[in-house]
Amino acid sequence: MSALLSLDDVSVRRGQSSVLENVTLDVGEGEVVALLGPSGSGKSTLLRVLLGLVAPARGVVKLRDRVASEAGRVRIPPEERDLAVVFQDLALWPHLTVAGNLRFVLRSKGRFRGEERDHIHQMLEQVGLAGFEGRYPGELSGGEQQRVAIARALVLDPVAVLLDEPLANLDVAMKQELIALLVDLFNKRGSTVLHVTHDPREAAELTSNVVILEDGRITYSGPLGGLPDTGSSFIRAVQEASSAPAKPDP
Amino acid sequence: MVLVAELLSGGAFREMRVTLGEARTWSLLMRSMGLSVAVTLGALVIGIPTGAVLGRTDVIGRRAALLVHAFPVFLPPFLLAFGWFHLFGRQGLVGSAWTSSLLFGPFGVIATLALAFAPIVTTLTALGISEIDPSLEEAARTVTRPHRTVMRILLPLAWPSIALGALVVFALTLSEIGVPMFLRVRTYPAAVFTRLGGIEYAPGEAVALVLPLLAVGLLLVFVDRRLIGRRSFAALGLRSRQIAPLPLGRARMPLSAAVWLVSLVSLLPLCALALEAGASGMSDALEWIGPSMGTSLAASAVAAVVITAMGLVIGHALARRRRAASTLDALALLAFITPSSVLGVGMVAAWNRPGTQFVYTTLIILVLGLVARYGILGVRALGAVFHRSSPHYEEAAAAFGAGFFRRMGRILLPMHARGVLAAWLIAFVFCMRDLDTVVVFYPPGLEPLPVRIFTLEANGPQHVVAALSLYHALLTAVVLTVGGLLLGLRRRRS
Repeated sequence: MSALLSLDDVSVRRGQSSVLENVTLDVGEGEVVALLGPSGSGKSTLLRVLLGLVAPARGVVKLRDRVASEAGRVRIPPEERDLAVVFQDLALWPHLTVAGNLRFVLRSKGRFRGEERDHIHQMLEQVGLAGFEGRYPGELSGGEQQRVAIARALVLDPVAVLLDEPLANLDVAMKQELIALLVDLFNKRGSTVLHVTHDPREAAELTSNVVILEDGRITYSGPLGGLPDTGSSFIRAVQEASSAPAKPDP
Repeated sequence: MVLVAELLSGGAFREMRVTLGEARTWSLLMRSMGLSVAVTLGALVIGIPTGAVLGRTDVIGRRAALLVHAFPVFLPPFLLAFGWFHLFGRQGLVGSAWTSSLLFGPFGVIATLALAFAPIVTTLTALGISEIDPSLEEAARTVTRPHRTVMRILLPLAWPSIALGALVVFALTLSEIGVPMFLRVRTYPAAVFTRLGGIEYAPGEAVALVLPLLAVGLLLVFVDRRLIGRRSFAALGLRSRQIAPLPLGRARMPLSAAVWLVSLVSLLPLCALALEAGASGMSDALEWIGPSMGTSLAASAVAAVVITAMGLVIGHALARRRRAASTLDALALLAFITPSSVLGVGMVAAWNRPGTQFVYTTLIILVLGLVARYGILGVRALGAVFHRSSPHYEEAAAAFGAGFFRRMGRILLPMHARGVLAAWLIAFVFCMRDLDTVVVFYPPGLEPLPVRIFTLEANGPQHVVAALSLYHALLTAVVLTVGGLLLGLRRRRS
């Protein structure tokens, strides 16, 4: 399988400290990969490097074999990468309605001209929000906002979807409901997905293919069940969590 | 309140009926309002794009450009009018009869004040944009180009800050008497002023004339409450976010040139003043300056301390949504945005009495006037600081038995020393630049520097007036530089 997203020996520095160190990662077309790591390990920075929001200090980022960023330069700007993102805080534009959020994305790319309305309606229908077009994000519940963010990410049919811990602040029931929705949508579309999370159970719900990032370095890449005993406390915690049954929501 | 009592007294009531019954009163008010609207629109046209570019893009030298552009807002606008006069007046460096006729008229007033106040809009737009959650911008950047991100996402989200800027510019313009009087344009606040101390002396009429201004002030407070409210806190913070500026690409060079041009235009009047003053003016001015600089420094420093102390208490109460805080904030806002002649007339009515001459004839009256006018700056600036700080710090201290003053002195003040210093600095500089408020009631022999310059303008030597204006600008620059360095030091320590 050829790599759709690829990072080759990428390093990112913030001041004197290193955020990412010699990271090499490939995500193939149609592949779903979970990027697991403790807080502050550089997961979100890696995502921002892929999106073109941060230029790597060293190394090369490629999208479908095209150089997107390299040593200090962003060659393909974020808006031309055709990647979609769902941030942890969702980043729904509060001054735009639900339909407005989706319309902004469609008009930015000039897609679906003349059929915007229908396309937005279909997309909202897929996430169970038909009829919510005129509402503002502030008028929605947390779960509804998550669905709008997912709809906004998928409305352009992007080449890959990057999820930056969008389910982190949800209760177990809501999380299960949204994971089921995501699995369904990704399967139907054959989406390429990079799912950043610190929760191994959440990762396992979407894929068994994981990458572990610790202190800015990739320490493991492979199936969740094949984690080696490296002595890392995070990997041990992942092993324990992924083998233990989920606790019911208190 | 004394002013209201004056208005309701029998004689004043009759005076009010006569004065407010005249058509020319209302046409002059409409003319002043029209000028204020035009200046506000001009400031928005200059300030919004400049603020957006300087606030979020990779324009060359953006911090320096913002500082240069913003500096004139800390000076009395009539100093800038003097500068434009030395450029475009009949005898000016590039002046002619045509440029002089443009300058001495409504166009000159609008252009001078729009350029003088545009940095308010610029700065609030830039601050408003910098306060927006970075992920909202990044989400837009993944689908669209930087200019569309600015136009469709950042500017609409920053509108409360922009609206606050428009409100402040409108209010300052409606208060302004220095520029219209110098450029020979009749305005309503100037009419009030001349009835208190000029050839048209008629204090009863002045009291009557302030009533419509008071109504305008109340209207502006209503606008602030309905449209801006607590969101104005977002515009006043000191926090800066760690996010890369938006790349302008090929537009970087032309936009950099454009914003630097706008910034340098702000300095043109000061350059003209420097040329007019020359070395002789700078030395002669020392003989003319008298005690005015000391008076300005002393009154402004004391007033700024009182304003900061007031801001600590009321701003904190406002941020924590304590009872009555909102009312006190509204009163402070009313005193700021109501044209200053209202406050001036009120101060005269309240303190010009036999028993209160120890206030009316001393520095105290200046301090009181400045505190009343600029108290809102401390309240809003420190309200913004406390608004961002988790109440848990104070609640933890309270749980361990610390009372209000101990919490304030040992927890909040050290934690927010930078914000407190910034509030003092803003209050100090605004008090230093004030002409409109104190010109109505400054005591004999205690004229602040702006009043000294303004009164000398009519019959003093031009090179001395230009030099005094430059001294004022230099003093302001020194204060801001020292304050900026101290703020920078505190940031590094924290």
